[in-house]
Amino acid sequence: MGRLKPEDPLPSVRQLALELTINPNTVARAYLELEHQGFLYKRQGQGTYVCTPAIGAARRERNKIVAGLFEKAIVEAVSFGMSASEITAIYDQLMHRYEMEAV
Amino acid sequence: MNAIEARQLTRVFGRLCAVNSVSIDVPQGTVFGLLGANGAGKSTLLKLLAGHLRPTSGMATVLGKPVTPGDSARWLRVGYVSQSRYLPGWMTSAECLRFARALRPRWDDTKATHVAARLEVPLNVKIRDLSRGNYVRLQIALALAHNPEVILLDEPTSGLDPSGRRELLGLLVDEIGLRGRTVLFSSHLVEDIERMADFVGIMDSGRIVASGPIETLKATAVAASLEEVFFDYVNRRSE
Repeated sequence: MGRLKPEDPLPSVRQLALELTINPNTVARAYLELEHQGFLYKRQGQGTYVCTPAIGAARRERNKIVAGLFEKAIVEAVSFGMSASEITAIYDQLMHRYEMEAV
Repeated sequence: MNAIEARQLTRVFGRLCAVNSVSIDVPQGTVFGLLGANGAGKSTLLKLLAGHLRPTSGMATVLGKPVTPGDSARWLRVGYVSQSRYLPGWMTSAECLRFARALRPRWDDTKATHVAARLEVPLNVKIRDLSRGNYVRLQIALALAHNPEVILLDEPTSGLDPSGRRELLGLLVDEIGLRGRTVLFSSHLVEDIERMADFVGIMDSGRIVASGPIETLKATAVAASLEEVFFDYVNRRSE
C-alpha cells in the first residue's frame, strides 16, 4: 500500500476491505474517524482523499501557535515563582479535564 | 431495527441444555460473530434461528417475524449454511443449483455462477461424493444466489483450505458491502471473527457469556486481543 501523499485518493471502502479481507463496516468506521481527525476528506461523489492542511505546513503552523501560547503561560508562571512540577500539575489537571491523552 | 433477535432462547436435548436462555440482538446491516469452542452450542443456536429446530422455550425473530419451522416464505429472505448434510446426495452440484433456482423467485443466475466459480464448486460431482469443504462451498453458493437479506453461516470456514477460506471471506466482504445485509456466522477461529464481525457473542456451555461491539469487548477486558477476551470468559466459567 505504501505511503500516501496529500491529495492522494484512498482506495474505496470495498476495495480496501477486500484487499485486507476485513469487514467493510470497519474500514468505513476508520475512514470516518480519520476524517473527523482532519486527515482525510471526501469529495462529493468521488471518494476519499488525503487532506493537505493536516499535513506539512498547516501542521507546523498549528504547532507554532500552540507552542507560543504555552510559552506565554510558562513565562507568567515562572514570574509567579512556580516550580516546573507545579506547572505540569496544572497542565495535567487541565488535560484530564478535557479528557485528552497527553502523548 | 434488529434483523435478528433471540429472547431467552433455550433448547434441551434429554439432560443436555444445548442452548441456555440466549438473548441476542443483531442490528440490520451488521455482522455478528458467534465465537465458541466445539460443543458450546453454536450450531444448535443457528438451527433455532434458521427454524431447523424448535426451541424448548423462548423465541427468535428474523426480519421482524417469529421463526417457526417450515415457514417457506422466510427462506426467500434468508440464506443458511449448515454443518449437517441435508442436501440430496444423489444430485450433482449443478442439479442442486438448478433445483434451488426453481424454488426461489429472486434467484440470480449470474451470481450463482460467479460464486460457484470463485469457490471452485465441483459442478458435476454428486453431492454424496463431495468433500466436507466442497459441500460447504456448494451450500454457500446456494445461500447467496437469491440475495437474501439475512445470512446465517454455521462454521463456514471449517473444512476449507487457506485459499478457500480467503475466497469465502472475500465473498463475505462483498456481500456485507451490499445495502442492509445482515450476517450471523459462527466460528471457533478468533481470527475469522476479528476480521469480519461488528458484534461478537462468546458462547460457552450453551450460554452467551459475553457480547457486544468488538471494540467494547476488547476495551472492557484488560486483554488486548479478542483471543484473550475469549479465554478470559471461558476460563472464568470453568473455574
